[in-house]
Amino acid sequence: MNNESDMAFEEPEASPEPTTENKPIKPGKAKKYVLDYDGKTGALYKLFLLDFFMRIITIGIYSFWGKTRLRKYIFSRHALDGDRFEYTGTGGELFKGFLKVLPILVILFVPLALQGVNPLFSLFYIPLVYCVGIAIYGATRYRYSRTRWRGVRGYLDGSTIGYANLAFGRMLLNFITLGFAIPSSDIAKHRYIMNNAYFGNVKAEFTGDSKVLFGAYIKSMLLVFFLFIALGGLFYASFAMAQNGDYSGYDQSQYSSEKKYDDMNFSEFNSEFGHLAGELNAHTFIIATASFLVIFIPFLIFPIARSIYVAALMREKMRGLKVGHLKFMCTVTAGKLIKHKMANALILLLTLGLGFPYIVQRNIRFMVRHHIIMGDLKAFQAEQGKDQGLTSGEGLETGFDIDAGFF
Amino acid sequence: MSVNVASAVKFYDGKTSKVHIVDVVFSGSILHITDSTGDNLASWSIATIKILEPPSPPVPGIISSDVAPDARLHIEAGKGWTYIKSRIPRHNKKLWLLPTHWSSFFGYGLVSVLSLAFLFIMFPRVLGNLALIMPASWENALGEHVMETMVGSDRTCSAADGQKVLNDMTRKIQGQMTRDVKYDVRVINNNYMLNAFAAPGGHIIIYKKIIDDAGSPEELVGILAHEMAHVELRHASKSVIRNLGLGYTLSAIFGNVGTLESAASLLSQMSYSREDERSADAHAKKTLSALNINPRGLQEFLERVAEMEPNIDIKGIEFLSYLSSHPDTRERIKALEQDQTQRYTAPMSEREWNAVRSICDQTKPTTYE
Repeated sequence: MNNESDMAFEEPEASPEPTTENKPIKPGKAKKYVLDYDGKTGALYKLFLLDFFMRIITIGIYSFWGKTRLRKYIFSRHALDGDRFEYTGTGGELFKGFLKVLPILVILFVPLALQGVNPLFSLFYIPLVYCVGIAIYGATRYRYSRTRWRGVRGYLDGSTIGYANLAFGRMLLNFITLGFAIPSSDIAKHRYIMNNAYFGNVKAEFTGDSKVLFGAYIKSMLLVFFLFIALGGLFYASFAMAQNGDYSGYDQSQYSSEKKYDDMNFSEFNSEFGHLAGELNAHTFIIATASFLVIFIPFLIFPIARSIYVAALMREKMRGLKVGHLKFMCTVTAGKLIKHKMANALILLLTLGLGFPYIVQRNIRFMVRHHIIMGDLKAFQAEQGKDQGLTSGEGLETGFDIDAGFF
Repeated sequence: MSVNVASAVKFYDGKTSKVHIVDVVFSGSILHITDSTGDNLASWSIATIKILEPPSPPVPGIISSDVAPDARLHIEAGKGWTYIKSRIPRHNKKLWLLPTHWSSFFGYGLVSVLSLAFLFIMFPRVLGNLALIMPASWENALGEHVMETMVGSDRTCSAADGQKVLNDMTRKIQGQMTRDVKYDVRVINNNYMLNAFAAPGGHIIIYKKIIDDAGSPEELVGILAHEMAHVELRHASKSVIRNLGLGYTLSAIFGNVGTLESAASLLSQMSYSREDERSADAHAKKTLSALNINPRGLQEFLERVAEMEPNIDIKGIEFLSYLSSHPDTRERIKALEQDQTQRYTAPMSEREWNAVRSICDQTKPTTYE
């Protein structure tokens, strides 16, 4: 960080020293800011590698410290208006949080592991799903309280049980409405969190509306629907083709005698495993390929089609947010998100997963690039707020292996 | 004596989000923080100063004080930082962090490999002993689940005469054992698998093919004694706990809850270690000798399996399952050499043996309740 004006889209005009005492804050001319990120891919690789090895050495216990060290690094490499963020959580706090909820995890997961012994044990999924809400709110509260900017920390008010009730009720509603309530549920849950969030003594306010999301949601679902119909058609057609022996273009006789293996240079193979190779005929091949596509492609289609909705949700989450006089904007579009995700998937595939730290780096850069903060950060003043008084955190979240995210 | 430590650095007072550009001056044992107008913003006694983060260029180091724990003074790496660090009491310095130089990763890698070796060799043994304290009702439920998974849709042979002979023989062998287990021995109507299996809680299945291929009743009785020895020695429970324990441990390391959820499926993937097989053989030999039954039967069975070993073909695939869980067949045959001086009696009459051989004349669905 050499110069704070690097961070702003527009050079702040001879920034006047902000007044602090008891005067209504008058935001100057609204400026646009982006987060500045100067984290290094090599450093992320080192931290992920350290975490990997230390987890093996400590049978997993290091993960709390590894996670903390990674967060400290990533936070300290983010700056807004020239001032770096600080993550003040510790590995010890996360470990303590995990130990606290360990009895709950055992009560929930042991019966689920023994579902085969008694199917009634699967009822434990109900409290498990309820606890996911508790986990998300608790983890968000911990993270806000451990984040500082300009020496002032975040704070999350509100009741964890209130959020868990909301999340559970919304999940049932989503189910009953066959998913059509998802946009309104996502916004309702986000509203609950943001309307309880503070930066110091400055309360955040969320006025986002799910109505603008509905169109995107319908679009993404229609896309999924049509892609599945198309896939189903493809599968059915290939199956029917194989059954009728209509290979349209293949000479069927070629595939019905031993001769074909010689043609395909299978002669040696044939003498040993002729009866096996006989199974590898065109019928099987077509059906196998189609089955593979039908099973595999949804894993690609779903995230891609969902991106239409996810991008709209990301934009609305920012559009509806106000912190003091600060407003926010997200410029992610479905196209950009799909392109980004597909590149991620390709990188992971080609590097056999070793590209993961680079994916993390890409994701951060993507988020930084597509978020804008509007207002006047010189005039933006917050006083230190309440101390959350937490001494441990995120136990349930760790136990469920979910990620509450930051916003 | 005053020492100017740093000029024009950032200071956040922890009360508001205002950014102060300050000069930092040491005067005796007090650190003074003053802004450009000369106002003193804070004076911290050296004993209260804490290093929160060491500098990692371009990120400055962060220091704070016990008297104002929310305040933050940012000092870049370099002369000022070195001076402050040298004056701060040792216990207030940042705790030691694991090094992340590329060269240090050789060390981490080496220790990791050693740890994994330890985990896979020592840990299962320790965990296996947990089986000794497993309640009988758990063992039973576990066994039923394993059996249901193993047997699938194959039917249970249920001719009453044959089953009675099997039960009597089981009781006779159990007379030589110490554990109070309710044995449930069944013949499964499957002509393809040459296998017998013992699950936790005294559940034993013998595939029909074993009886069909057996040259003598001694062979069947030998196999039965061997499987009962597995139960007596709690090999099945130990194996399940070992597998589960390892699964849980790996999921703890790599944080995958999917492993936790699929733990149940691990129950069906049990296998015995070579050691378990040898001790079950030895135990069976002892039991049979005590009952004056010739342990030659078990040996003959293994010999037959061993003969099939060299010429495994596609059709012989059914033997693979037996061989993979019963390693070192030839070595085991040798260990079973019987005592030539002992006189043995027949384990069952000709009529009883015929009853066992026709046990699959009647079958019923395989259920465990």
